[in-house]
Amino acid sequence: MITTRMLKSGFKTAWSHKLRATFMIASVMIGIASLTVIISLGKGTQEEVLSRVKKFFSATTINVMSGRVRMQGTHAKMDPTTTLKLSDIEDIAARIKTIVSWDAGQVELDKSASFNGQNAIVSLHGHMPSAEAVWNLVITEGRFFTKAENDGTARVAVIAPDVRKELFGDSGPIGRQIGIEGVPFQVIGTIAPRGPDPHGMSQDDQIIIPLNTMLKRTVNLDYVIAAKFIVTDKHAVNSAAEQITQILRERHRINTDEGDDFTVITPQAVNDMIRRATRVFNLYLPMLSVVFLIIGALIVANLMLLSVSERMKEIGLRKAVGAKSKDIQLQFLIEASSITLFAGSVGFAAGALLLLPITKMIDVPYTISWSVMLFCLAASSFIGIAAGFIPARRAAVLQPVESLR
Amino acid sequence: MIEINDVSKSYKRDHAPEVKALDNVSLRIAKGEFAAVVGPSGSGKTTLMNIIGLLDVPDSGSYKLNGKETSELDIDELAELRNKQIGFVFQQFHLLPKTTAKENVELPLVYSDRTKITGLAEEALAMVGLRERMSHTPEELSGGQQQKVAIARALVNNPEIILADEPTGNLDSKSGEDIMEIFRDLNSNGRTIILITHDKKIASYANRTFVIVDGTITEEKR
Ligand SMILES: Nc1ncnc2c1ncn2[C@@H]1O[C@H](COP(=O)(O)OP(=O)(O)OP(=O)(O)O)[C@@H](O)[C@H]1O
Ligand SMILES: [Mg+2]
Repeated sequence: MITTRMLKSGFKTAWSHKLRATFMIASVMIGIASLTVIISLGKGTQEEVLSRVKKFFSATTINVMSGRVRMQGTHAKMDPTTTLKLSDIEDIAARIKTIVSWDAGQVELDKSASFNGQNAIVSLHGHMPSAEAVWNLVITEGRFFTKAENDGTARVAVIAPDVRKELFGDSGPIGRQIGIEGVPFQVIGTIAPRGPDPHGMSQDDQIIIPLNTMLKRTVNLDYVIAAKFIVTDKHAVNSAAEQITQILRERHRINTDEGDDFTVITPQAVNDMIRRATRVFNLYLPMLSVVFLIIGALIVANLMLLSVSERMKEIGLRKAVGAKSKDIQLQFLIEASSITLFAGSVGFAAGALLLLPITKMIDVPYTISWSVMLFCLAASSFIGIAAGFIPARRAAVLQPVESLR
Repeated sequence: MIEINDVSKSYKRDHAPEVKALDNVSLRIAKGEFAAVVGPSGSGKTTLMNIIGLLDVPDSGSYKLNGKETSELDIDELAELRNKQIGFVFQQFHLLPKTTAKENVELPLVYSDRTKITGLAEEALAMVGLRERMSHTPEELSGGQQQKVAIARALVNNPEIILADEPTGNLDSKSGEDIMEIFRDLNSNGRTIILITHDKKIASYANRTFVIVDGTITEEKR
């Protein structure tokens, strides 16, 4: 009864300083809102990168890239050479018993494809017939090419959804003749959407043709850019990777004091990369949030301190007419915590709402991290409350005349 | 009921000579008396009122209120005594800014253990003739009206003692007389009134007059 009366009176007084209360609420709100946006976007990006990478590299996969691949932050920098031949890959597959299937490929970006006056810019991929299984391709119409078609350098193509849409719209593509850089190919299959690759590049603008056809008829090259091996189980990975390195160095006649001209990527290496990538996120994002948090908290603390010293007279008066120390403390405690909690929650909601238009505008994924948000909210409230409460408590135990002055 | 013996109070400040605001003051005021304290500016009147009103503690000496030594009470016990027994009219009013007259008057009730408080603030405002200004804030009231709100606040919790520091200082003589009539009524109902004033005419409403000069008090014989 007395408490409700008291709190009502306290809130009325706090609200009578509308500008200050509004400013205090606004600053906490903006702080928490921007924190919500930053953390959610960061977290979303992190999760997307991780899921993309994990989807690509299963536990029994060994990838071999031509040239040295260097990691720069979360990005792989490739520097392909012309030394990785299909015969190297075939030799590896024949010599290592734990390899159950494999694929090798070559890529040419920005090639033109046409059908019936429609044009599309595609990335042209040459693969082995085994690619369907090795890459888990889902055939939606028609079929994948065969070993006979690869051996016979047949001009057949399997197209990804974007290509299908651009060249054929709603009509059926199977059996049609398309031109790839002017060379006629027959469409024999379409594949389901695959999303972006680990570098974030779309895989849905691909046309996949037999590797032999590509090397001999289209690009006239005798080397591949990458190969993928699948081994029996994950315990076989490390020794297979070592043998691959050995075989390639042997075949490429690399001296012991020279570095590899290829890169073997094991699940272990991918894990290391993931760990490095997450370290960036796990270190910088919290650091950024902590900076925001400190700024927000300092604003709140500042305003609270200002408020208390401005309200010394009020404290003195309330004490003069009978407020006990705990009444004053409770008033300021409740006031400070409700302001910061209210402002924090509204800020959180505003940030979450802001995410929709932002992500629509710049197409980044987001994940709202409740634990981080709760922590930020709790921490900023705690600081606001401490800043409001501690000086009020000090004033509460003074003789009334001292605060009335 | 108020027994003050050899009370002294000095103000010490850095780099300034000590000011002895009260120097061995002794005085006794019985329940139901109407006392006036007069004296020149800076003589220690407000300091005395703060001590009688339990807003401050003396450096030395003893102050018994209703037979109880107040120096033995802790800060919350003092707060409770102030709430129940003492009504203040401060020299500078001390009204909460941007807060309505009614809410200002209600402030002592906020901290009282009474269960029913509705209507009391209106009643007190009616006594000082400010009922219609109930929802005005101090910023919207004249100096005299603010003083009346401060008086209504002192009355609202029906205290035994009313301490008023220059309660008519901002009023014209007509309003001043009205206020003094209110104090006289309260006094005839058994309230103890202690009034600080410069005005001899206002002091004449009281039954006793104390004169304070340089922190030393003497009672004026009549
Ligand atoms: N907080 C303080 N710090 C230092 N000196 C003070 C303080 N309060 C009062 N004094 C000094 O104590 C003396 C008595 O002050 P007090 O306020 O009691 O005078 P007063 O009689 O109420 O004067 P007035 O009629 O002007 O209100 C004065 O000399 C004043 O300067
Ligand atoms: Mg004074």
